[in-house]
Amino acid sequence: MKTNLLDQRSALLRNELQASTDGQQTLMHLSAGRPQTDHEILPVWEQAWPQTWEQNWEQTWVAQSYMQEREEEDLG
Amino acid sequence: MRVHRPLVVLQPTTFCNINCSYCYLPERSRKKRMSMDIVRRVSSEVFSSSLFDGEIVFLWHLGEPLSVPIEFYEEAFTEISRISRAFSRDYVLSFQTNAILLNQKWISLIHRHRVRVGVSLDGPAFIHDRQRVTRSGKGTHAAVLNGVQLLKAANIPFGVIAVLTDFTLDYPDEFFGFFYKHRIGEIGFNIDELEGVHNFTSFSHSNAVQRYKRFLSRLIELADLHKGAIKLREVWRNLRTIELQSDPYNLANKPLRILNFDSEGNFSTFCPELVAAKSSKYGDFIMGNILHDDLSSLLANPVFQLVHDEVEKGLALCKESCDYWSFCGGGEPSSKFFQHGRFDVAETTTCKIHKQATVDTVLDYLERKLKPNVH
Repeated sequence: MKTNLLDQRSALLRNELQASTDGQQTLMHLSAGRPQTDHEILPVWEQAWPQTWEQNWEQTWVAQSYMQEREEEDLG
Repeated sequence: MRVHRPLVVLQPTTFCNINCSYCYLPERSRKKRMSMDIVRRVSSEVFSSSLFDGEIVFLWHLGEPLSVPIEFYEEAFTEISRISRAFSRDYVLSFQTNAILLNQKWISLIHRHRVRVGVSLDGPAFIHDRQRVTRSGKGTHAAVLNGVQLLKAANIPFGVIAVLTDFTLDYPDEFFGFFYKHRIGEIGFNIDELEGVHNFTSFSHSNAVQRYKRFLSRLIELADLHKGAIKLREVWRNLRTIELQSDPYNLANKPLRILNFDSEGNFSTFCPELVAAKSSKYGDFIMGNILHDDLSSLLANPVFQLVHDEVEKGLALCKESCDYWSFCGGGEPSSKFFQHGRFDVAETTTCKIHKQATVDTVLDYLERKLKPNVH
């Protein structure tokens, strides 16, 4: 496989994602809890399953305080 | 050849209770039903086969699965369970459904058998109801939301597949806001593409790529801003590739990774969409019939060999010619066939939008946010 500009960009971003707080936070927001290898990936219902609805929303990625904010917004 | 965790796609019926404008299934008005003999034969073959290891994933799809009476699944699930025990194999059951026919009986079945659920839902009503309509042309959004509420009330996790059309691209905020409001956290996209009897794509115009990139860029921004409340499959898959440098992998172009069984027992491998395709060159993609043939005969089947040979050539071309290979692992065989009439080709319109523009947008977003020095 040849190395191209996309691969170079990808390598630079990998370092940033792993090294910086911003990078770690971005990973958490956009891909936390996803399968670790492509071989595990199946259609979208697969990704939803192992985490229950509550874990998915209330416990893992969305902070409790943020959920409270939302509930207040909903009530308001 | 040994395949880990195959996806077995079963067509319980050709029928669908609605008539989406982009649907690729030609027989969705006919009510052919899979027999229990086929269910038993498929189960025996996949559970006993040395071609597979790991759990077997059954997906009821290629027609609306819930338009079949619930008793069909009560019996089918019992049979699958019985046969799996005989071979000491694990399995997973799943529905890809429009959710319109969901009621408490279905919810109970889903609960009891731990069926995983994917719902087809294109976003807010003014988007969804343009495409996902009844045979009389009425929108189905309200009925789908009823089904979604039943799933949520029963605490059944589900993911959503949303088909994007060019129209959707003007409304990223509304699209995101809808799923956010309804707390639907797992979304994957398909794009409105040339497929089966659907011989038109709204993405064929010259600025489709730019419009898609704008749309996706805004969605990523919103997903990040809202702290991951919504996970976009197209985004996290590419992030995984960047983060873990994982090998590119597309299960749709690996033989036997997906096995498709139509309502009459005809079987094939590669993309499920090929079940709906007609082609004299490729023998309508029928690689055997489970009522008459063993699954292992598939590898010696001339249709399989012809398709496999071309798919491999197409993958070699992808790898050689496409900068996106390390993200994609090769284009979808069905997209290649429906656009070019063959598999030994590389790029398709779907590649340009769904794969390449997605990678570009994810990289651009990360670079804007993290600002690494790109040389």
